Amino acid sequence: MRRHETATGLRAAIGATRRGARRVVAAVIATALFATTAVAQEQASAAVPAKAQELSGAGIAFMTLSLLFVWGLALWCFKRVLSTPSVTDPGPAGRP
Amino acid sequence: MAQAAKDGWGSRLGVILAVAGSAVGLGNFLRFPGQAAANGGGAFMIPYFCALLLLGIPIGWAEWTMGRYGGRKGFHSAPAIMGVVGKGSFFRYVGVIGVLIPLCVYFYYVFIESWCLGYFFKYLTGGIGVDPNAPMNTQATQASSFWQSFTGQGKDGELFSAGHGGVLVFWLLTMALNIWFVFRGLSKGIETFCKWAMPAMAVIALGVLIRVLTLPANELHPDQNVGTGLAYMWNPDFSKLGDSKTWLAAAGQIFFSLSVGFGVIINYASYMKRRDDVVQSGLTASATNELFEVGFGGMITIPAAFIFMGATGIIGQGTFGLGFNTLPVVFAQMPGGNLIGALWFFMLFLAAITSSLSMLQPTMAFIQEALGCSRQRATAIVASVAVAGSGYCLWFTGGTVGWGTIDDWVGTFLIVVLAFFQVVAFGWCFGVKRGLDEAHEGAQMRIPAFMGFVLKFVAPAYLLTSIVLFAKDNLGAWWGKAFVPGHRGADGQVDYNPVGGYSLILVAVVTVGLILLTRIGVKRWKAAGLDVDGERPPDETEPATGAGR
Repeated sequence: MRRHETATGLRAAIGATRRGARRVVAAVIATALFATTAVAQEQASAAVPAKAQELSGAGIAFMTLSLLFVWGLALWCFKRVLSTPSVTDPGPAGRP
Repeated sequence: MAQAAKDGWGSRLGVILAVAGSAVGLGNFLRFPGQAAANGGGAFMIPYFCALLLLGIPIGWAEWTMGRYGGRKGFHSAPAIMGVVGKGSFFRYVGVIGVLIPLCVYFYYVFIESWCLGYFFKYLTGGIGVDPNAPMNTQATQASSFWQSFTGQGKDGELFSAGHGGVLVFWLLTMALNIWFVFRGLSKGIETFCKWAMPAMAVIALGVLIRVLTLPANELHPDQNVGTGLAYMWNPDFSKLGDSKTWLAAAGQIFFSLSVGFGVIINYASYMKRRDDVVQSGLTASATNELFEVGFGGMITIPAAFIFMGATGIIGQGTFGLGFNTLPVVFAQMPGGNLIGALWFFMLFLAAITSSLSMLQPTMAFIQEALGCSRQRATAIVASVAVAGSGYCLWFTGGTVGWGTIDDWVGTFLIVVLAFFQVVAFGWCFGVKRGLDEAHEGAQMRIPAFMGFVLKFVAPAYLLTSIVLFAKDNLGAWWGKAFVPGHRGADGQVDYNPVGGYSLILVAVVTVGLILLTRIGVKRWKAAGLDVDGERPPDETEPATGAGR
């Protein structure tokens, strides 16, 4: 009986911890979003339109990182797909 | 009852390329660069990649999983699969949107596709008549005049008048190609074509990219060169990150680009086998789409246009203006421009046809399932409806109101609505844990656990917010334009056009037809002992034959 109560209590505690963790994660995300927005709004007041200019260091960085990301992800995915044979399902559709 | 040959994919690569082909379209090369340049350049990539990782890829995984699960139940159409996943008739009838969207979008998409084929042919045979020696304004007018005349934007019925019918030939050819490939079936038709077309597109895009990056500076305006063109596209403007519209634009671009909420992925995935990997396949299809969008679209269109026309040639052009007004002037200026123009429009044609094929297939599957007819008979029905609907768009071309209204309501708004109901069905009716377990069956990689939270809470909240904001900002104006005589737009000009109303009536008629077919289908499926409400586990009780048999 006592063991059962302990287990139930533990489960409840774990559940509460998980709920709390979710709230913390949500709060962190919200804070980060708010901070990003605030920083961006602060920069907006001093920002100069970056059109018809030479490619800046930040522009090169964003372009390079974006290209590396999309090329890297595509190559990684296709490498995995092509190196793994398709799993064939011997049974008809709808059967285990 | 007619016996249909069982459809299915020939290979894993085939289904990936078919889904990627569906996603890669004109928007990758024309819409994305315009959106990025207008919303912060390089800084736009921050919300863009956030939306990709937190919305696009997870919702895509949900669609792949629901599709394969529905296929195990013997279903291939969105209404039937949504009924199974959402456990009841409400989601089954919401699933009708999953057939309505691809079918109605096909009506006008095949028309736009025929422009690409037409431009390809024109460039092969000498260009569209833009004089590179004329002043830039004249060249822009020449390109615009050709486009408006070629696509009949002057008035309704213009394409059927003498001297304007050129595009009709290309439309007929495009329509015939689409119907032929769909008739051939999934493996022999769509898959075979995509396995050829996708690598071809990549090779052509690479060739055009190399040409653009090696262009000399503009002789009259030396400050317009590859470097400043790339700067226009990529230099970050962080101030845009403080604007919620930038974040919405980024999420919207990801959404429309990946073909989620379109009714296609759910249909394509339903032909996968039980232990086929939906997680890796979904990620690979998304990655392929991103490669074309960012890797090629982001590097070609804007820099090329900037070198020859500067920022003024880009601002306010919109997707089609950039493609069919601006770029022809660029090709006229460019050394070897006719060849590059031909390659470019052939690539756009390939991108468009791989997408349009995917728009017919969901309707084919639905007709076969609902009526229990053969693929041949379903092809005849779908082709008749497609020709009639597209014929409507060919007639009402004046000011692009006819097909533009369908694009606004169906191709833009309903996509978000369907995606919302899909994630609700997956996250709340089917259950996130069960859904992720189902996705992991046969998977090489695991979906991160936090994606469950994203699918259950973040994605529905985001989509619902988008629907509300979108409806608040647009639906009233759209409705006014279509149905309220004397309605005035934001610029104070009367923008009422009854053709918009006709288009909405057309969409309503198609919707009613699809609902009736769903009712007929449900009776058949129940009589065949299929689990239409998803009450039983799929492995124990389902007959081996599908609903279309």
